[in-house]
This record gives sequence, structure tokens and C-alpha cells, in this order.
Amino acid sequence: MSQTRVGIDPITVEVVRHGLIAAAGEMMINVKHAAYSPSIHEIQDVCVGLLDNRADILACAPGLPMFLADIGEVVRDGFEVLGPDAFQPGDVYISNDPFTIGTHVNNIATYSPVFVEGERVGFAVVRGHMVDMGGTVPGSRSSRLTEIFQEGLRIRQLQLYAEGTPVAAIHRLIADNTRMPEAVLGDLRAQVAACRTGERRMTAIVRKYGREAFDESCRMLLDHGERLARRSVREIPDGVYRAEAFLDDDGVAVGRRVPIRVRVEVTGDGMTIDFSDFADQTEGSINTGPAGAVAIARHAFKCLTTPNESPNEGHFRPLNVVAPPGKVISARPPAACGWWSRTTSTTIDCILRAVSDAIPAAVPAAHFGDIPMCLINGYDLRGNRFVFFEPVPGGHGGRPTEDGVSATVCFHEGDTPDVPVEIQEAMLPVFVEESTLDQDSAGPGLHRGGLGYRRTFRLLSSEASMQLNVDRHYCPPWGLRGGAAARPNSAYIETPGGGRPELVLKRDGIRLEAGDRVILCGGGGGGWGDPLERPPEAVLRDVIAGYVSRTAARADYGVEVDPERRTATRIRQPEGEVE
Amino acid sequence: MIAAWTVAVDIGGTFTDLAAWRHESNEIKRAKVLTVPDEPVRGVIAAIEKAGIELRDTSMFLHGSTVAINAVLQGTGARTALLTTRGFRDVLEMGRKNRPDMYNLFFKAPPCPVAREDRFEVDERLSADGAVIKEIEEEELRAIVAALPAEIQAVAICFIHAYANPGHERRAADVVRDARPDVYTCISTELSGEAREYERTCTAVANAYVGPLVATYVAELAAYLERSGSSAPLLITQSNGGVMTSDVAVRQPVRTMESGPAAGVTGAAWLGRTLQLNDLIAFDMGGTSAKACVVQHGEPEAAAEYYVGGRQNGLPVQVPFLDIVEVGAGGGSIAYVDAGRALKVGPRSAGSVPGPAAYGLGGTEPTITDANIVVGRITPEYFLGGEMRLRMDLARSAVGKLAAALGMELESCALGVIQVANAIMAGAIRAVTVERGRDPRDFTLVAYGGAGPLHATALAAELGIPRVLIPAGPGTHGAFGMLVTEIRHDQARTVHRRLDAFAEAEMGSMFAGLEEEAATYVGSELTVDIAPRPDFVRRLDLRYVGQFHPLTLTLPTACDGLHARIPDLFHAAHLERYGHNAPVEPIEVTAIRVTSVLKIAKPETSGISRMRPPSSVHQRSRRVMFDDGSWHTCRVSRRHELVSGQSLRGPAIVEDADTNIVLGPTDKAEVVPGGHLMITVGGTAA
Repeated sequence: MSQTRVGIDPITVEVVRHGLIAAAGEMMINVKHAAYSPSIHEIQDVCVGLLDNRADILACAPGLPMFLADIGEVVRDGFEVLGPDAFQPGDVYISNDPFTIGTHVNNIATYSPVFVEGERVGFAVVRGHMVDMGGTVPGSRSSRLTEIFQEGLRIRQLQLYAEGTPVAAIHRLIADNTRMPEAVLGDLRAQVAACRTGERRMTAIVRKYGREAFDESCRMLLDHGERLARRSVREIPDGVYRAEAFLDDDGVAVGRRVPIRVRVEVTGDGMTIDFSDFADQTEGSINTGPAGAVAIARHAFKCLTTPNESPNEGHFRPLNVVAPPGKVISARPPAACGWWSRTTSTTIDCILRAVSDAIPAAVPAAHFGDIPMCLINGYDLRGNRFVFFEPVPGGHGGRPTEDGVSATVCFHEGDTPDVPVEIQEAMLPVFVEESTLDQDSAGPGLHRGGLGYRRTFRLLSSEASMQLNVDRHYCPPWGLRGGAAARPNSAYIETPGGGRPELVLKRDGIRLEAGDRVILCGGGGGGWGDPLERPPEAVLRDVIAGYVSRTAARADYGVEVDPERRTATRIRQPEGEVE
Repeated sequence: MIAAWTVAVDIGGTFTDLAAWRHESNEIKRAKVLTVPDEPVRGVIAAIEKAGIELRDTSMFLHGSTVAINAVLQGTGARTALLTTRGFRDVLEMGRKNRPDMYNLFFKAPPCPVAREDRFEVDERLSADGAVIKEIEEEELRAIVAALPAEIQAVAICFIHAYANPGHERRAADVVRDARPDVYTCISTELSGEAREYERTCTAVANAYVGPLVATYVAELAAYLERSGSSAPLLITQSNGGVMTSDVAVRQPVRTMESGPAAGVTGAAWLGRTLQLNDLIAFDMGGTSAKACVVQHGEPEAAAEYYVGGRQNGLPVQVPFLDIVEVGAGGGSIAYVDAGRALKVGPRSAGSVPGPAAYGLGGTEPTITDANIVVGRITPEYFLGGEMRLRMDLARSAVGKLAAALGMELESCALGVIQVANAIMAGAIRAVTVERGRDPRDFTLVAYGGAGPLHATALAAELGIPRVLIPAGPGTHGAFGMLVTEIRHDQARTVHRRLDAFAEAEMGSMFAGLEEEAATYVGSELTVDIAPRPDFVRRLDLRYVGQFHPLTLTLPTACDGLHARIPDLFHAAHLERYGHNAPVEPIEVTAIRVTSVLKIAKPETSGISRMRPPSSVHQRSRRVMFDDGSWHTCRVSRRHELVSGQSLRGPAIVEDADTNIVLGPTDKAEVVPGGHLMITVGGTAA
């Protein structure tokens, strides 16, 4: 790490850092407002940022927390494909190739070089989710697809604007290969507009402080980010840590488990996250290119080291990611990548679990692990076609200091609010009978997990169809330090007079009859610490509130509760303790 | 007429401010005293005594306090029960299920003021159009109410889709009031007619939670006024910038949560009108935070959503708030070196106790105020007009420690603290301008609060804002804002309609119904100094079909052909706000809104401008460090000695009773009518 050079004070660095973060924030608002697709302006499936001349992230605004590798990798790939000096002022390049920039073909990155007084100073990048890129199915992804060629148009480093002028050929190519050309071209225009905003803001900062002071400030703000992260890594004892979990299946080879194995090595102030033992790429579409491995590792690393800092490349310098080609998260063509995000939250939980023995005070138990997917297609109450999806929440893990948080979106989702029942019922042919915390779903522990979530609803139109895609049912959210596992994700369909509700995890084209109920359950969070050590008063409070039943209080916590008289008595002692 | 004064008192975290207006003479009085946190009424009394006003001589008493918001932020409200629809007991606890603090493994759950066992499900159900799917049963209600614990002090009622039909909520409230007259009871639809069950539930719960406290407080204040021989009506300020009668305030205290900051914006908008300036950025910097709000076309901007306690971990409430963006940078904000050896400022604040190091009350950490003293921008011996002396030595030693840690010169470090704070505050101003599609160069920055005038010109230069206006009495500007407000009530109703299928007659009768409701809230019992009947403003929430976020469109005064023009007005508004529109797309209406406004008598000017100079003018000069890092010899003058029309040239310091005004080396200023200072910011000329 270099020392401060004479001439640049820490104040200029801090002011430049704020300016770059504000610029990224402005790019984000810009693209969200101008975008056509709800995937960008509602679901936040977008990432923007500013890079330095070497494609290191100076400031970025990830719409979802997992977007920490998208914007730098695309420009680095551009250096490789086009050459580092290929860029002219006004150019915009686009790329969506999962095998070089990660994720899936729906995600198109656009980027433009920033020139000040004829010299290139950096790049502005915007990456958004396109509603359709062609291919076999509308929306370009399905758990049935097995090759990238079925998932639509793949683009690597083509020129969208040449020195400020739109390149007609590439626009035509895109328009001819998507089912929704207006939306896709509209979203691309929004992305380019946001790139231009980023160029203008970065230019203003460079002009204000001068090229040399700007470059030096950028170098120092990245060094600062690196120092913060290294300081946190140093607090993790050296060692090799491993953990594993699995997904139920890839949607094609039903019932064949997909192992998720991670190895974390900490040496001094550096960390290696190694995916060498991860599942080999699958036939089903849960794969992505090696940038996916980087994004997932970075997400976990950021949670462990610099959770409160606006992200920049410096934060990730202490991190080395090992992902041999051919794994689910470092797949080779022609792997299908549509549902690549299915592995992300579970992998992050595994990385956390691996280091939890080394830093027990810093890591919660597992969360519910993945969104139980339920997509509804049909006609809304005004006769328009709709596809409805929302990120079903679940419980987060018990913590070393307190209980976990209930019914919140999983790791790879962030600031994504649900759709209120009052809005759903006004727009769509659905009737929600309950939207509630699920009693006894939390993993028992000294600090129990957060409660899972249960939603029971009916469809009011026979023309609507439904797709369920629920994973992590067979690998329940684990506890830590003696805490117990939680109730896992599941989905049920109940027909009137049909007896017990039927467990349905992955199924397409479901048609419901009047009166049929769908019960969607987001699992709970794992428990932290021995549940037999939970104070009886805490168990009493949980029973009074209805988070825990009396039966579970007895079976899981060894506490007999009388809610009427408000008494709780321990009837079973933790192991090794004698009354 | 004896009753000659309108008195406004604004209680803030640190100070209680008073502004009063004598009707016949147009005289304005101001006073500032320390807040008494445990007994706020004592602070009110102290302010009135300091100003030397006889309450017998008041015709109207306007008041804003932090009683309601503090109860929410500190969790000291009433034990509250919630009655809700079967299947939806956990809506309040789960929130919208998002995780804004997205990399924090120890993120907080949303605040939940009602314990789960105090949330009761009622077996009733409405559909989105208000039709009854499951009738409410009085017998079940009575059983629930009978089972309410005796300790319950307040009950909030919120049912799914009640915005479309409040019948069930009203019947439930009747049962509760009948059985438990001792309990404070409110229903969601009296507060909000809008869809979104989580936000409406929070609104009802927040209202019930603070209701008993606010009722007690208002009664205490009213009793004090009565004892003092005043028969003046008591009006309470709201978060929308208006005021309401104390009766409405007791029923709907959730409307008072951010009344202090809103009153400052109202004051700025009024000031703009008197000076023919319609587009302003109101900028308020106090001891713990800085706030920015845009006034466009003369109207303060309303917020689409508001969270008490902040977006990340606050409680959303569905009543009108101004779109005020707050950042944690105030005079008392502490500067420090972080783990990566970078200089950071705030949001931790030294508050009023111990306060900045220079206060000499035991604070040792360097604050923004200390930094301003070190670079010569605050006059230590003229703080609060000389009532309090600040210690330069303590400020230097506090900032000195920071400078040593960073390996910097003391003064450069102090300047650095100010510049980092300015970068943070520029973020708040950018949030309400560029991030909402507005260019700050089109605005005038109105700066007030105890620290606003110290930082205003540097911020304006940073953002390219050409003019800064420092009102007379910047430290009591919030209280003054209450003197120039209106009695106001906002009422809204969610609808789900295509605009092309929403007939003029039907929309008109819905508006008329809302206006009738709104009119009942604006205080028909008041007989003095008010207009005979309210004015109404109509608004529509509109969006293109398929869009998610609506845009609120204010309709021009009703006239022939207006209905047919609504699409064009919306296309134009969409273009202005987002930079694009889609005139061929169909439009839908998601809410109709009405604001009723009852005008009250108000002053014509907020201060006096001296016509001739005083016999002896206090004039000195001292060295002050500016943002270029060099020291300039500055002329220092006293604000109350400036003469109307007088011009000033930077670099200069103007000492105000509440604060210092800083003019940078290339700034110019003029004393405009009313005693306000209009500064032309150097280097921003268009």
C-alpha cells in the first residue's frame, strides 16, 4: 500500500468520494425513472457505477446487493476483446455474455468511456435486466431450458454508439431478436442516458480538482477501502474453513441434489474463497460464468468486512476468488444460465457458516436461503395480460446477541418491498386469505431464528396459470453453536374436500379450480446456541405472542409454559448440567 | 382591540423559539430559550416571559412541539392494541419485508409499537371495491374488547380495504368507545383514505400510540393559556406546513410528527412570495442535522412517502408531509478519523449537552461548530448575541487532536471538517433537486437555523446556486414560519380507474364529497382573524397504465373544459419530472386528493429594515480562512446595524443574534426590504 503523496489532503479525497457516490446515485435515479420495465424500476434489477481507467469500481449503486462484479468485469472484458485503447469519446459498448460478465443474457451492460480534455479518465457503466432477449420462452428463462442458445440473443462487446451516433445495425439486430423491442430499446436508451449522466458528473469532478488530484484522490479512496477491509480480515483468525449445503435439484434432473461446497482460507489480512469443490455445471439453467463466483464471494466478503461502506474496488482487494471452469457458478458455454440466482443466497450462507467457528460473535445462523418462487400468468381485472411475481420472505438466522429477524427477503434481494395485498387484490384476480408469520417455523436456539412466512391465497380466474419453483426444501436452514434447524421453504395446493394439502415444489402450468388454495411458505431462520439455554421467560414471551406453541416450547426448549398464569418452568436441562 | 398579538412558539430539541406579531404596528418580536425536555410547557412559558408578551393581549396562539415524534423515536408512547382483519395480524410486524441495510448481517427489524398479543384479528372482510365479503359481528367485537388487558391505553383499528368502505372500522370503534371510554381510540380511515395496508396500519397505530400523550400535553398548554387570561384559539402545526385546531390535533396527532421543519419551509415559501421568488431550496441547519426541501412555483414540495425515524428503520405514516431530506450534519456533529484513517463527520452529535468543545460544558470531541470557530467564521464572544461566550482555546485543542491524527495543520484540518460537512449537506440538496430532475441553478437557497448561514454560500458555490437569501432572524425562522401559515387539511381517497372511463360528473361529485369532509376539519368554530370559508385545491394521482409510481397533479381552478385537458396536463408534468412521457399511452387514476385551506391574518413583513445607520457602528475586521485554504482579512459587521439597501462585498462576516453569515471572497450582498440579506454567489453567474 502506498503512502499519501504530497499535495493531496484527506479532505479532497473525502469530498471526491462523496461526489462520485452522488454521481452513481444520480445515474441510478436516472435509469430507474426513464426505464420502461418494472424489473428495473420496481425489482431494482439494475446496477450502475463509475470506474477508473483500469476498470476498478470507484463508486457504484447496486440495486440488489449481489451486483458487485457486473460493472467492472464488462469493461475488463472490453480491454481484452477490443484492446485497451479502442475507445473514443461518445462511444457506448454493450455486452450480455454470461460467460464473461456473469448472470444471464437478460442482463445487458452498457458502458461509455469518460474523456476530459482529450484524455480518458474512466468509464460509466449501467447494467439492467431486459424483459425479453428472445429464445425459446417469453422472458428468455425457464427451468426447462438446457442450453444458452435457447435463452436468446448473446452479445459480447458490440458498439451501440460510435462517437455519439447510434449504430443502426446493432439496434436492428436487437429489435429483431426480442419479443418486446419497444421495451428493450427503451430500456437501453435509459441506460445510455444514465451513462451520459455519469460521464458529465465525472467530468465535472475532474475539471474541478484537476486530472492529477482526481487520479490521486481515486487511488487514495481505493486504498482507504482496502485498509478498512484488511483491518476486518485481520480480526478473523488464520485458518482453512469449509462448509457445505445443497440445492434440492436443478429443475431438470429432479431429485438430484446440487452440492454447494465452499472453502475459505484466511491468511493475515487476505482471504481466499475457493469454489473448487462446488457442483459441476448442470443441465438445468442455474449456472452462470465465472463472474458469478466473483459476485457471490464479494457479497459474502462485504457482509463480513465493510457492511456499512458504499462499495468500491478497494474493499475487494484482500479477496481472492478461486473458481475452476465448469462449476455451476463458473460455467462454460453452452450452459443455460436463466435461473443463475438460485445458488447465490445459499452459497453466501455457506461462506458465513465456514468462518463462523473462527468468528462466532460475527455470524448469524442460516436464513431461509432462497425465494420460494411463484409466478402467476393471466389477465388482470381490466383484461390486460400480466405476469405476477414477488419475492416471498422468510426468517433470518438467530444471532450471537439476539433473535433473528422474521419474514424478510433473502440475501440476494435487498431494498425490494413487497406488493401490498390491497394493491394486488385491486389489480389481479387473487384473494389473499392470510399473510402471516408462521408459528413454530423458527429454528429453536438460545437466540431463536426469525419466523418464516405463510401466505394462503386463491385465484379468482380460471384463465390464470401458475408456476411454482421452490428450492431448499430438503436442506433446511441450519442452526449454529447448538441451535436447531428451522422449518424449510415449501408450497402446498389444497383442493376443497381433497384431504391434506399436496406438497408441490417445482411445477409449471398449474391451473387452479375455484376454491383451490395455494399455501406458500418461506422457511424460518436457524437457531443460535442451545435452545435448552434459552431463559424460560423468553420462551414464555414467545408462547404468549404465539411465535412458539406450548407443544414446541416443551419439545424444543424443554420449558413447560402456562400462558394463563404466565408461568414457565424448565423441565429439561442442557446437557452437562445437573439440577 | 386589545388582543393585539399572534404568538408562535416552536419547541425543538435544543431550543424553544418564539416569534410574535403585533397586528396594528406590524411589529415582530423573537425570543430563544433552552428547551425543557421533561416539561415542555415550562420552556413555552420562559419564551413568552423573555419576549415580554402578555397572553391577555393575544388573539391567536400557534404552537409546534416534538411531543409526538419523541414518543415514537424514544418508544415512550401508550400501550396500544390493534384490531385488524383475520389473517393480517402480522402486517404491522413484518413491514414491507425489504432490507434497505443490505450488507448488514445484523440489520434491524422494522419498529413495531404493538406487541403481538395486543394485536387482535376480527373475522370481517371487504373487497377492493368496498363490498362486504364477511360481515363484521358485534358479538365477536364485544368479546375481543372485553378481553383487552386493563393496561391498554389506546386502540388503533385498521381493516383490509377499509379505504373503500370505512363502515366496519366505524362500527368497531363504536363498540370499543362504548365498552372502554377511558381508552384513546382511532380508526385508520379517519386519518388516511389510501390503500396499502402496512402504511395505513402504521398510521393508525402511530396515532393511537402518541394520542394520550398529546391529549394531555395540549390540555396542559390550554390550561396555562386560560390561567394567563388568554382566550386566543390554540392552533397546532402540522407536517404539511399548515396548522390545525387543537381539537383536530388531539384526534389526529400523527399529523404533527415533523411540524417544526415544515414550519421553516412554510416561512421560506412566504418569504419567497414577498420577494417575488417562486423557486427556492429551503435549507435548515441546526445542531444535529441539516434539512433541505424544495419550494417550486411558490409551493413546498409534498413527499410521496414518509417514515418517522428515517427510511432505513422508521415507521411509515400515510399523512401529508413535506419532502424534506435530512442528513446527519449539524453544528454539533462530531468529526473523527475512521478505521481506514479517513476524516469523517457525523452523524454522531454532541447535541446541546455537552455540546461542542467550545461551549466549555465538558465536550472534548471536535464538532463542526468548533471548526468554524478555528477558521474565524464564528465570533466566540457574540454567540447568541453575546449571551453565551465560546472558548476558542477549547475549540483549537479539540480540532488540534484531530489534526495531529491526520498529520495536518490545525487550520487546514478545521477547514477540512467544514468541507466534508458541506459535501454531506450538498448530498441533501442534490437529493431534492438533481435527483428529482431539477437543476439547482434555477433556485435561490434560503438558509436558516443556527448554522445554515455559516455554510450557505459555500454550499451554493459547490452546487452552482446563484443566490442565497438569509431571512431576518434566521435562528427563529421556524417559529416565524408558523405566523405565516394557513389552517389546512388534506384528504385523499384511493380509486382504481382508467382516466378515459372516469366521467367528469362522477369525478366532480367525488371531489365535492372529499371537500365536504375536509371542510369539517378546518375549524369552523374559530371566529377571529380568519377567512369566512375555506378554499379548496384539487389534485389527482395519475400514471400510465403499467407504471407503478403515480405522479400527483395539481389541477387548476375548476373551469369549463378542464376535465378534457387533464391528459395533456399529466403528459406535461411527466415530461417535466422524468424527462420523458408517452402521450399515446392510456392513463389511470390511483387517488383523488383535496386540500382545504382557511386563511388566517398574517404579517406583511418578517423583520424591520433600518432606514438610517445607528449613531455608532460596530465595525472591526479579522482574518478568516476560506475554502481556497487562504486567510482573508474580513470586515465584520453587526446585522442589526445594517441599513436597508446597503450593499456588502465579500469576504465579510455579518454577526447575527443567532448565527454568523459568511460571505466568501467573491460574494456580494444587499439588504433587501424586510431586513433580509440577498447574497449573489461569486462564480455562479449564469
